Amino acid sequence: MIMERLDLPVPGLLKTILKSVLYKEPNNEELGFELLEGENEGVEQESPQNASGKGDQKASTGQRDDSRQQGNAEQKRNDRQQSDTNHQGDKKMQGNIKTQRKNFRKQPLKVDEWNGNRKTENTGNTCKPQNNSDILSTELCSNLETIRQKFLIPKNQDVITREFKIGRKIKAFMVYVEGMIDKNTMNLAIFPHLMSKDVFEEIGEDCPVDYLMENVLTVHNVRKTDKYSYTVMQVLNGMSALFVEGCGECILMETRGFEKRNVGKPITETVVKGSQEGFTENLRTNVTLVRKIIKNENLVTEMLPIGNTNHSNCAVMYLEGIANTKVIQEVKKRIKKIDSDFVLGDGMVEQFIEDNPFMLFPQVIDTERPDRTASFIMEGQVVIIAEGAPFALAVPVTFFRLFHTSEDSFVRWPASNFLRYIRLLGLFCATFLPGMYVALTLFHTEMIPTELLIFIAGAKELVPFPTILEVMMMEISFELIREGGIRVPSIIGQTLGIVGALILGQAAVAAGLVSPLLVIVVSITGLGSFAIPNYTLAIAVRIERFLFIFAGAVLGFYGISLMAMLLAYFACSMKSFGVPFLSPVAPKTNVNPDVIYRHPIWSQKNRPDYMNAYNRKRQGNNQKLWISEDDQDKKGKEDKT
Amino acid sequence: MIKEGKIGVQEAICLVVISTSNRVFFTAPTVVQQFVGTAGWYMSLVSDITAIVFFTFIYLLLKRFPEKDIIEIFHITFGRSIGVFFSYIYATSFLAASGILLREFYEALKTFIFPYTPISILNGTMVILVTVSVFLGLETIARAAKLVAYFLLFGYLILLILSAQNFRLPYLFPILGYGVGKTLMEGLTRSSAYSEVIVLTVFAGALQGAKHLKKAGYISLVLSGLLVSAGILCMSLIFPYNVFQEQTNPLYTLATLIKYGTFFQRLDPAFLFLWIIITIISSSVVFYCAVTSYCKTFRLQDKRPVIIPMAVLLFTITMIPRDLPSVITEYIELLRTYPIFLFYILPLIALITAKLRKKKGGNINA
Amino acid sequence: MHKSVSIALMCVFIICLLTACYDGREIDEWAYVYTIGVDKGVSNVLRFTFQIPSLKRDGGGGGSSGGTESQSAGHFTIISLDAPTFHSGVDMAETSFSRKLNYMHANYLLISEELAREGVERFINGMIRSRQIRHSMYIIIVRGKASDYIEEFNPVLTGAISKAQDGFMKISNKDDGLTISTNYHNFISDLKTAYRTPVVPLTAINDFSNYEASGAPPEIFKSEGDYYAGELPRSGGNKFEFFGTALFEGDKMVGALNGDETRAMLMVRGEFNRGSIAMTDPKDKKLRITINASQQKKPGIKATFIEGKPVINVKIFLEGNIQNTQSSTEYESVKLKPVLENAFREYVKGILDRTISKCKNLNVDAFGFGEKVVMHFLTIQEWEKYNWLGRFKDTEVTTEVKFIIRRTGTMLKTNPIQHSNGEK
Repeated sequence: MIMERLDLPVPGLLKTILKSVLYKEPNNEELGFELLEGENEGVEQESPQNASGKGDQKASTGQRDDSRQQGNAEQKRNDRQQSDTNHQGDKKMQGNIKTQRKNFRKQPLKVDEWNGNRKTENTGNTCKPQNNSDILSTELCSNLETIRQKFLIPKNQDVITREFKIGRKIKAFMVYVEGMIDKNTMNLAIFPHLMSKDVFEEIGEDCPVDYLMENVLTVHNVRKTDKYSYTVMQVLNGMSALFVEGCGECILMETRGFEKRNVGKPITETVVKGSQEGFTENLRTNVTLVRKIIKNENLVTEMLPIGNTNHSNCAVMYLEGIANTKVIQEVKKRIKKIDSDFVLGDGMVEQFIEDNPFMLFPQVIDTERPDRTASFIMEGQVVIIAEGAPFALAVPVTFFRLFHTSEDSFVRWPASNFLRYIRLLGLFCATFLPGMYVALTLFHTEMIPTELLIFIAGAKELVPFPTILEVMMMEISFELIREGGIRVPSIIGQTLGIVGALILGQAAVAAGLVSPLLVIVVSITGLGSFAIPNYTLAIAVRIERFLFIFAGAVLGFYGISLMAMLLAYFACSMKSFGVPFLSPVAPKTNVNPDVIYRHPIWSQKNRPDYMNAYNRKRQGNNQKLWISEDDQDKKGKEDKT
Repeated sequence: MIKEGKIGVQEAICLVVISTSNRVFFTAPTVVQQFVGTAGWYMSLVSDITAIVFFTFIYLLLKRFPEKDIIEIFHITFGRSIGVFFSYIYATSFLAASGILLREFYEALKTFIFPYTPISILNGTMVILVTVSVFLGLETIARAAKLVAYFLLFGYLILLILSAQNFRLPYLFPILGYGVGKTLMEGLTRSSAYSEVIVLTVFAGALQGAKHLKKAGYISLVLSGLLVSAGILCMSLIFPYNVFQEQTNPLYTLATLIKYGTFFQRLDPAFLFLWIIITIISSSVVFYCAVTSYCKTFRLQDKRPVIIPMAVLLFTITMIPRDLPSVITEYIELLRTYPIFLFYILPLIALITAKLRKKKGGNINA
Repeated sequence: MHKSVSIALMCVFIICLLTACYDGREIDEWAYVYTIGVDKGVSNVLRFTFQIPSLKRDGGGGGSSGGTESQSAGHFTIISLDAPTFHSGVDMAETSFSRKLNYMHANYLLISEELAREGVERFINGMIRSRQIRHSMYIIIVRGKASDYIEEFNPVLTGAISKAQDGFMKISNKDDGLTISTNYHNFISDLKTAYRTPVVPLTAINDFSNYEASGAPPEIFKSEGDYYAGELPRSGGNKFEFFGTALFEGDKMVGALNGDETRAMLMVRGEFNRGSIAMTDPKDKKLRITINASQQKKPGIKATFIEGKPVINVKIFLEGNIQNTQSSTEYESVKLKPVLENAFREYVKGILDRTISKCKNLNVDAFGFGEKVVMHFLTIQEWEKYNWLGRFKDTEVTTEVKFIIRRTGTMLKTNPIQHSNGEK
């Protein structure tokens, strides 16, 4: 309103006075880039190649630019209306979007303009990019244009097209992504051979691709293809493609050499005894690390693509003849059914393929350790390694397996059993202790020894809060410390967190905020949850703990048992890839030498029954064999004497 | 038909043992003691043997109709109309049994732990849990029963062993109680204390064969007979008969008596978990049987729409009894003595009818 | 599904509002009763006394010193009031506190002798109906008023009263046998059955008046157990002691056993663990010998019926060490050892017979002979008809004591002390 009034033709002086008196709305509409209300929100992006409604969209984009320049509010409103209509139009198309999604790939606009500009500058040749077909053209320049168009060259600067002549005769060019390839291979093994004079000693008239592959290129892995899409994928994966004049095929060379982390120690699963190798972010390396341990021809690695846009890969590994084919089929089916633009790492894959996404408990087991992965494979489980995170997933999994660590099999059985029971105790404390404390102090005071009770009551006198608030305060601050401790850079974070907890506990007691016994309860709970080997399970337990605190506060032990049984019912109804979550205890299956109590390694003769592995037998009568051999030796000696 | 899944023999045994031996945790031992005095511990064995004999008939009936459950067999042997009538009574009595079981439990809970909490809160939370369990299905209940069976057995035995410090052998005498005749008579009539074995027949289809049913039935009857008898024996060793007859919940009182030093005493709330979990499992399975037998009676394809109305009924039935004495003297007596006709005699009649009418399994529903 | 999850979460938070409703009570909203005393009432039927620890801190106000210092010793308050019944008494008592009384932790139920002699039936059944009265609570008879006694019940060695309460009972039960420990469950069971009659420990305030500062010791033998509670000639220590036992006939206390008799009763019951028993030296009546005796095995008690009359044969098996001899006589020697054993046997048998006849006179089967007699009955009807407790006084009881000296302590032989005049 005021703005409009200001626009009136008023003499200069009056205008200045008015300006100083009247309130003027600050002109702060263009504060910066604002994405939230973009025109194409909620609309599937379309690729320029097969866009029918492209012009429409473009028009709106142009209009937007105009409105930006003018900064006029009225026009902007118009613009928004228009985009709304666009939106409605697009909504009609959403029905067949799903079918479309698989066919095209998202590419920014204005490619044609770029190409158009460049064309006029260039040779003036009438080479046209192969827009309609996925098949390579026999004309080199056409191929070049297509490739350039596909990789958005020259806007995209890390894809390199290197033009040269093979043997100083035939025109050719190479495409590769800078940084993804090994420069040494390129400089020393490919270009010198291709560009040397004596390449074509015995060449015929026809396409030299086969000749080149057989005689010239000294690269270990060479393939040829006649498809653009495949070529583009492989180039993006780090291979380099060689296009030759007059050939409808190109040569893909394995020249991968990108930067990657070295194989280091596993960070989340450290052990005292056992292998100190951990996975890296590189899929190939990870698969190799597993293969290095299982040297068996039956170890199958199937590569499946995941992620529609980021084109990530994941490997499904299993031991043919041992892993159950139903599980393998199911895993492959579920992975193939993932329809998502961006999938990276095992964490995302896990969420896409798990059976009961609403349960707290993890239904796959992840590990950072190749040796543990190998042991999963040997048990008959199927392992999924996704690109981008140093973890492998194994399915199917049961509750009890989440408690095992790789150290269990490396130390002798009394030790491993002891450690395992400590871990179970940790789980028990982490789940029930705070809830029990609340229930005991609120409902079942008779269970507390009298002297302790009097002491707690005396300490509680000074605390103004009800028990439940006290417990929640401590638990939540503990969770904060733990979460903060992870975010603190460097490994000191953990230590800092614990120190913080101690200081907080001490200070809270001194300040009369909580009773001292509670600090002990909370810290034992924390220690217990640290002892749980599986991180996902540990988080689940951390959440469950709060449920038990509430249950205990409302109905004492009755509430706790109801909550426990509820969780037990849910856990019993869960399945992980066809295997009941609580097997082999419920339902009971055959001999299980390694559930909670771990038998000595030589007596673990069979694979777990619930996996339904094809080959149940894992090992023979180890100890017995050499004992009986010794006996025979003795007998032999006695016979001689 | 309703998907029941498959359960193994071990899970079935756990289910039956838990739901039959829950008696020992409530007023039943006291009532037994009031009838037979010091002879209670072997009277329960007499009942057990009677139940085993009756179970043999049930087994013979189910063997005749392999892969069929009792409701279907009723339909086959008695024809649709009478079959529906009997099956309906079956479903109703299961519902009543689970309701009274819960009520008995709340009475114990209110006496010893929560004197001021309204029974509707205790009941509401429990019924919600039981309903959830029935939604999740038989497989889940059976697995949960198997999972907790270890803890329950361990806890129960620990409870009995720890109470050994208070045992006094003379309390078992006079050894014959109120006389052999009375003991035998009571033993026979109270054999329906083990009538929960009948739940096996309701989900006989899930057990995969009469052979498994036989194994599960006999083993669980023997096991629960031993457990109940051991419990009553321990209680008789601690309470002389005329004090025993006074106890509202003898086993809980037994737990309060445990005392080893200044720390290890007053531990009864820790044993409370036994009471609660046993009640949860047994009421879940009995309520499940009520729901499925109702569905099977009227050939409903899906049990889920029935569950919530039945849960409301369960809640209501639990709230019906006016006071503790009426729970014990009227409702429980009703449930402990009369089911013998329903659960034992009825299958017997069905067996005889099947023999007379020469009906056999396999050819119906083909 | 998301909706149901969020509804479930909301329910959880709503349930939080219910926390500690109804039965839940903050730990500091209770007042914990350590000891309950019951007296004969004056202005009402019964007089109840509660001993309640105070949660007040030594540090006084502020509480800046933190919650870590321990409860100081002996801070408790005592409230006595006359009430018609126990539970209404509790309600009456609560009006004077800001707390609710919690007697789940009460360890002692003290009953005054006066009330016990009139009968305990009036409250003993009523109290146990409450879930808070523990069946494992100790029952003790106080000579004098229970309210006065609780005033003095403040153990000198410790501030941990409940631990001390357990301790007194444990010592008397396990280590000296001068009194017994009886819990509510045992008391009720014995009251209501005919297997045996209840036996309850006796306690009293000792005002140290029996302690005479000077004078000569008496010539006649006075054993260590020849006292009742409150009579020990001592000064210092706690102002109370547990000594001897009270005997009940029906619900009424009819008599008491002194320390020696209590030991004898425990021996017959098979509950005598060990104790130092003093007696006169068989060679020199002026001197005393102490034997640390313990039960070698459970006593052999045989009940038979001769002409319809029960005859009970008691065999006590004891073993022991020589703990103390005041003379230089070599009782360790093969020759003299049987002499000592015989004398001890006679001495114990004397006490035993005395105790049994005392009980028979009172018509109290404190020994549990009924537990053996009942084995001769097959059905409850017969047993109840026989009325064992009414027939105990006609029962013939024969006793026999076996005793062996096993060890002689750290001395194998006693050599005489040398005097300057050459006497030995």
